[in-house]
Formats: sequence, structure tokens, C-alpha cells
Amino acid sequence: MKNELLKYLRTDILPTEFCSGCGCGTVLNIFCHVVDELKINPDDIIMVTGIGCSSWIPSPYFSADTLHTTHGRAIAFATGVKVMKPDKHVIVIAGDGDLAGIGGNHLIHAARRNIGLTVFLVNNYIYGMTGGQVSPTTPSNVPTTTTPYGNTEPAFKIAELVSAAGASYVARWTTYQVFHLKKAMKDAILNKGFSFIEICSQCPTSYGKRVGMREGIDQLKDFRDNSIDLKKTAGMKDEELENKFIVGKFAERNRTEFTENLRNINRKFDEVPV
Amino acid sequence: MIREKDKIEIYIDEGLCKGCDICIELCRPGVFVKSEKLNSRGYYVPVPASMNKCTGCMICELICPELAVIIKKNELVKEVV
Repeated sequence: MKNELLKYLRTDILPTEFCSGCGCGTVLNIFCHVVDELKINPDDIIMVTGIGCSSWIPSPYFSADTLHTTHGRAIAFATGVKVMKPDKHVIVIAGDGDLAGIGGNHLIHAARRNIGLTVFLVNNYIYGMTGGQVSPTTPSNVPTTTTPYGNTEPAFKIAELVSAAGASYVARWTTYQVFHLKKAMKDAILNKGFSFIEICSQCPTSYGKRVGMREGIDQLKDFRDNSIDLKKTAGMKDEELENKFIVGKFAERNRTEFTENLRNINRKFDEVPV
Repeated sequence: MIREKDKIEIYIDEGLCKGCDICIELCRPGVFVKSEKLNSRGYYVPVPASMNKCTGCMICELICPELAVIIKKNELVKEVV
């Protein structure tokens, strides 16, 4: 018995190269369910990605037109694609090191422009593929390859950052809350402006073993026990929210979309008789 | 395997499974157990041992990182969920 969703994947390279228990596979699974339930033709999807473990989700596994770009530049490439092909679903799936670390500036400026991209940031809290170096999202005091005595820096709160930068849909969910994540992915794909979901994901190989959670299931149980709904955090102190995963919808607002504005200007000049 | 009562079917794609045990641990009724059998890649795959406990919640199918768990339900059950 084969899974019907395998029709969306490049099956000749399965099973995936992800480590056993990796959260990237869960994101791929839920994304296939979302595409299937929204009845989107994969020909109408253009996937753009950068470098990292989670960049393997679109390239090579998900079978749509794919751009596998240089490190951190996924959103820059996707902006170009969306301007030329505004009727396609341009979806970026990449990791925290790619989108928030090296391509952080592209991320906040795409949110400011409110360009109609859908960005799924798979946050595994570390540079997993290159061997577990510290990333901008690594929590304080966590030992990594490059910070063997513990990370001295505080972590980036990416969902809050993108929400403040002006994106029209922002949410954060973990790979444990699969139904919420599926609903959020649907909303993000159907939303017209810049939609962003930070997906907290487990990385048993590079991150989990350094924080004493050697299997993927240990980190999933951590997500289950330490997640707090955004609505319940009002009035809570920062110390209480330390090492907690604040999940929920951070922003949903109506703003004019970048490519629409661009096209309106073009139309103004098209009307002038030559 | 097919359950007669309401036709819930659970399949495990043994060629894809990597034995991460997420389905075994997260299934609240405890439908899956680890089998004694190795698959072609050397992992102990789960088997749906207690089919009657399955509530059809679909968590195992959605959370499986390898798309190896397949749940088939009739339309009536699907609507309720």
C-alpha cells in the first residue's frame, strides 16, 4: 500500500535523506496534505529555497518547479519570480539559518513590502546541516560546535520580528501541533500578501543531542509540554516565558500587495497613447 | 489492516519507515507497537497491533516524517473529524 500523496513527490529518490525523527519530514508531509486539500495544481506552484536541511523539502522532494538558490537569498529570488508571475503561488521553504541568519534583511524587507510570497521558516534552532554551529535562533546557554561553553547571545524572535515589519499573516506553530499547522499553512497560502509561518521543528542529530533530547520524539514531547498559546501570554513576565514556545497567530491584517501596486503604476503608463 | 466495525484501514509503508517511533509514542490509545521484523534499511517498523483502539484522529498520518503511515476512513468518519 502506497501513500496517495506520493504523487506530489519525486519518488525515485525516496525514502528521504532526513535523519530518523527529523521535523523537516513532518513539514513535507503536512505541506503535501495542504496542497491536496486545497486542490492546487503543482504546476501553479513555484518553490524557492536556499541552503540547509529544510531546503531539501522543495528541492528535491516536492515535485513542482523549483529554484534552489544561494545561501540566504531565497526571498530575493522569490521576489523576482513573484513580480514576473503574480498569478502563481510562490512558496519559500527554508531554515532559520538561511532566512533569519544570512538572509535576515531580505526577510524583513519582503515583509515591509508585503509582497505576495508564502514563507515557511523551519526553525530547528541551529545550523544543522553544517554540523551544529550557533544560529541567530539558538537559545541562550545552549552549547553548540562554535559555542562549546554555551551560547552567550539571546535568540531572535522571528515571528514577532516579521509581524512588526508589517507582514499580512504571521503565525508560529511547532511540528507537534499538526492540525493547527495545517490550518495555518492553508490560510498562509490563500492569503494575498506576505504570509509567514515559523515552524519550530526538532533536530535530533545536531540540536537535540546537545540539550539532552537525543530522539525526535523527546523534542516533540518538549514542544507539547512547553507550548503556550499567544492569547494566554498577556500579563506574563519574560522570566515565565523563558524556554517556552509561544504559538498562535501573531498578525492578520489587510495591506495592499506589492505586485498589485507595481501593476497599477504600469497600467497608468500603458493608457498613454504612443 | 482493515477494521470491520467502521472500515478504518491502517497501513505502514515499510519501504519508507525509518523507525523513529513517533507514531508509537504519540498515539494516545496506543495502537502501534514495535515489530520484531527489520525492514530493508535495517529499522524495526511499527505495526498496528490494537486496531480496535484507533479513533481515527489522523495524528500519526500527519506527523509521520516519512509519509509512511496511511489511514483510510470512510466518508462519515472523515466528516466528524
